[in-house]
Amino acid sequence: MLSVGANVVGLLFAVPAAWAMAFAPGKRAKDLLLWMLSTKMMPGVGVLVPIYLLFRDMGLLDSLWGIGLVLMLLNLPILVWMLYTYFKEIPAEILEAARVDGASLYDEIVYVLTPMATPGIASTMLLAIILSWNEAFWTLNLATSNAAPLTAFIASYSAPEGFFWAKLSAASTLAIAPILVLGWISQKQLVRGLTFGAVK
Amino acid sequence: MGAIQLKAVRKAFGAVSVINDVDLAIDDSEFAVFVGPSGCGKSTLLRLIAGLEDLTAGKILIDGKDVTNVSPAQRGLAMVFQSYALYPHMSVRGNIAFALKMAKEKPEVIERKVNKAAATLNLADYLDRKPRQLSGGQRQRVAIGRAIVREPKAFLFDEPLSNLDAALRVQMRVEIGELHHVLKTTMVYVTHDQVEAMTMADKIVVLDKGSVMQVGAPLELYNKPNGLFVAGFIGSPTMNLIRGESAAKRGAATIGVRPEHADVSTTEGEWRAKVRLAEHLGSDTFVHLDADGIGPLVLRLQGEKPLAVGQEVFVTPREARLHRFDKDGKRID
Repeated sequence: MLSVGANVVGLLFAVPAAWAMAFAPGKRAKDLLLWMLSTKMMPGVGVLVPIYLLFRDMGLLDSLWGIGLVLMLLNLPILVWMLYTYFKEIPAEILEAARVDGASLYDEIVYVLTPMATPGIASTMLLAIILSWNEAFWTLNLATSNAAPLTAFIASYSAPEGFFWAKLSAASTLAIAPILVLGWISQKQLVRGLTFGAVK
Repeated sequence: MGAIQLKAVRKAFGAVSVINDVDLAIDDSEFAVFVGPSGCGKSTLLRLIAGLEDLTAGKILIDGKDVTNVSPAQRGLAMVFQSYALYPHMSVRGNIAFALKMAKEKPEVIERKVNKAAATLNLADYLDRKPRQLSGGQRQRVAIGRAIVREPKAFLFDEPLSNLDAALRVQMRVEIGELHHVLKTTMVYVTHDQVEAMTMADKIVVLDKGSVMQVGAPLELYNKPNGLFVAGFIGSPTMNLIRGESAAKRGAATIGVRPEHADVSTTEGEWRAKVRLAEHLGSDTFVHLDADGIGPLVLRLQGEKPLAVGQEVFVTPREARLHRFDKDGKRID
């Protein structure tokens, strides 16, 4: 629920942002994109303390909203970048035709762009959900019991007495299973989404 | 009503000026064709009229109303793109109905208008197909149908026939001409093909490097080009431009002789020439010549002419159809 929900919210921000980058880029659009991607290059541990303190002061520690916010923000650069590369493949003339036909910006995105970009959006969401599903660093540090997702649950099987190997293995297998099935079913779309726009 | 006026229209991308102070008037119900070489700014000018590009300076008026800062949807125009720009995820019906849906028309009105447009364009049997299931000509008709249903003040065509094969291009040219005759709506048509311009237009606007070179009826441009550029652009094959003694003795820096306005003889004539190549089309023969002291010439002769490569002939221009230009390339009347 956290993985899907956080990324659906992320998509609501990422689609308009990617539209702007692809179809109405300013002078610094490329620089902005690179900056967004550069935030993924920094290890999370480098900003753990300030984020922890912020969450503590805002009352977001060990809350679903807090974890959801972190998961969304972690994946937002990837969502924007992948959607941007997919949107660049869509002929701008089709959106111009919609504009001449009387479509507002909202109509253009909802009735023309999104349906055309559905495969790209689906593969982007799939990748984002997988990344959120596997996210352990932030969930372990910002949640204890109330908002602890599956990764925290698995980590709880390591104790001072040692590892509860059997239970750990069972929980890990259960955690992997849904993503494995989802990834297997949608492997073509995943590859297409990851490589789309790489080669003309 | 669809009279369009452009007043001192200028467009620049950064420091690069692509449209230079264009003043133009297109009357209601007129079929105006913007023609010129690639990169001359004709598509940019069309996009400025459509509202898809912002003006750097100047005004655009439609029926006397300033639409310079009005969005494309509010200008009451419809556009047919070179690549058709159909919505691939919608059926033909959906494509044609989209503009009416955006205008929040009632479903029964949408149904009626879509069916009427489909009938006009012979698309009634294809309404439930997707664009990828249609041929090039059918897709073009859907693009036109999408424009027709809006009942616009003017249609804008951006090289709509460029992606079609030669035979289909001729057929669609006739259909668009007939459509104009039936609808009597202003049409602004962009093409680089001067044959399309000559056959379809009420008024041709010749552009070069962002400036209007000449505006006039097709035969006016053909018979009285105002300069070397228009003279060389209008007419196929291109007008033969001759400098030197032959021009000087006629009081000009350059003379122009259309390929169809010269006579060839095997015995006598003003210029001696050797046949380099003869192209036999059946109805015409295009002869490529190297003339002494003149240089290369291309002539169009009616019917089949048995001219052999290397054969010596004599060429005489028809004085009454000769064009004279001064040292600045401007027409001398």
